[in-house]
Amino acid sequence: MNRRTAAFAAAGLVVLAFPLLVQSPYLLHIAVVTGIYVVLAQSLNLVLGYCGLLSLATPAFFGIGAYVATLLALRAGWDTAATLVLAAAGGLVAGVAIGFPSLRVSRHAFVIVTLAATLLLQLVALNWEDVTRGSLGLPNIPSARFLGFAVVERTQWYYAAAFAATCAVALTGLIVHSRFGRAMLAVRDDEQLAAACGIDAFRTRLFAFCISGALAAVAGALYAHFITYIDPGVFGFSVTETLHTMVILGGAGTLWGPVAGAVIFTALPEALRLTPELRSLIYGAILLAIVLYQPRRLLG
Amino acid sequence: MTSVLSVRDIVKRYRGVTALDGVSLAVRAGTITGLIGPNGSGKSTLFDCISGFQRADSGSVQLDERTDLTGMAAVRIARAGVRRTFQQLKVFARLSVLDNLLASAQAAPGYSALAESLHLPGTRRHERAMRERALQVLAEIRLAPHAASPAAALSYGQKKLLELGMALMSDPKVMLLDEPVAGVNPALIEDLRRELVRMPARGVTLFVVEHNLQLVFDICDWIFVLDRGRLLTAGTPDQVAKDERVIESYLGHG
Repeated sequence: MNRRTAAFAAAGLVVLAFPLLVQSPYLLHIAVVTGIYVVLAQSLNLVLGYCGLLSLATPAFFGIGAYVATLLALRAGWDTAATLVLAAAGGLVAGVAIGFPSLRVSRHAFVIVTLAATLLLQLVALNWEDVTRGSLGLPNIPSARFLGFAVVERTQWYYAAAFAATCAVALTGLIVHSRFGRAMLAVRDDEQLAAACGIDAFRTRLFAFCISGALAAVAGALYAHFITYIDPGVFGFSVTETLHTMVILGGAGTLWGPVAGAVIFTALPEALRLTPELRSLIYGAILLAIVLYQPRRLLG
Repeated sequence: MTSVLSVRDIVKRYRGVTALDGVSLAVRAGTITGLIGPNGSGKSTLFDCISGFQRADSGSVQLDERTDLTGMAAVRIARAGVRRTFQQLKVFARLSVLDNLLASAQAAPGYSALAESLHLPGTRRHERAMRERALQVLAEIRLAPHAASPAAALSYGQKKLLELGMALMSDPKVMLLDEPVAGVNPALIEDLRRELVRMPARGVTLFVVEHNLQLVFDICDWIFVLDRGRLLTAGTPDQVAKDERVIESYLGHG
């Protein structure tokens, strides 16, 4: 217990002191991206890890959050505190819209519908040119400004991202250590037995999925404000690959596993400068290994 | 004496095969009632139809002579107070033994995912009370030393005990137990038997499917005999034991 506390304190110190230790803007940039990935990883973790559902809708939520925040900031000049809330609400609503029809049917239907939703939203972003400018994308997104306080410097962004990541972990921790969290695990372990215990699998999954949607949308909004440019690529699947690697190998269904996964799988490829081709190869091999040796994780 | 479960004219067909052919029976409150019959006579199917895991083609089920359970979803039937176990033993394998009990008491009135997730004060009080209750049940079924280990680590017999403890945690009016002692060694059967006979005193009516006839005749107040989807006979253990048709049905297509 003491060692655990010490380890967490040390990690906390490193996180706090990171900008002092590292002056490189490039590394700080990677660190901000890592923070956003932690939020995304917890979003996926809630669904994949704690509910045992394969969801391909994470890019959909991420993209919705990015576009909602961007449009509100660009067109209406909203404060980032407000754009984040609206982005989260967008994720929540999308969670209901995608989850309500599909979670009732079957887990397979759910996978297909989440995939379809992501593809559909990407098409909308590509073709609704009046609003999204299609593939030209939306440039010059204002950097984050919380209640008038501008987040411009990389160091400021670093702390904002670290704060967001901390909040995502805290929120996930709060949820999974509650009675609702136990319901999620029960449904994941045995849906029939859960029903016999009076646990409604559909509602449990829907609630988790909506929270997951809100989290991913917030990550998307942060991304948009940080990168200051988005295009329909935010609905792309390149992120999903990386994200699944982070969550599954980090430890789906644990609180800190996906955090470690996010840090390792953002930092490692950058630090080692692996070629993209090699990364895909490793990713494929890893996924294959998981399917071969731990098929219950995904197919349970 | 009132009936905790009233089953009327349940019919269930699978593509031409009639699994239940108009079964009517009443389980009286405060009893241990047995349901026996040869393999394939429809016992588990009847449990499925009562508990909402399968939908009967026709017929009705009532709880406490008041609540109509016919066509209700399994979750709602469970919340109404009908708790079932499965022929294929089920526990939440990856949850701890204690969490299995707590998950089993999940469906309390006023449960709200949001309130629970935010750990609102009311939910904490409830959680504490449930935890105390769970520890008490654990002590009763003698699994207290295993509270923190995952349910998957228990022996088969211990899982059977846990299953019973879980059912007890949910405070049901009636338990439908599908082969509570199947595959358990004699020493543990004794433990299970002891728990079973205490249930009526805890306010739980038992409706038991079991192939261990010695146990059934020992603990039951009333026994229903199913044969090929129909109620063959019913009576006290003595009456049923003397009924030649029962022996015939067991030997006839064994």
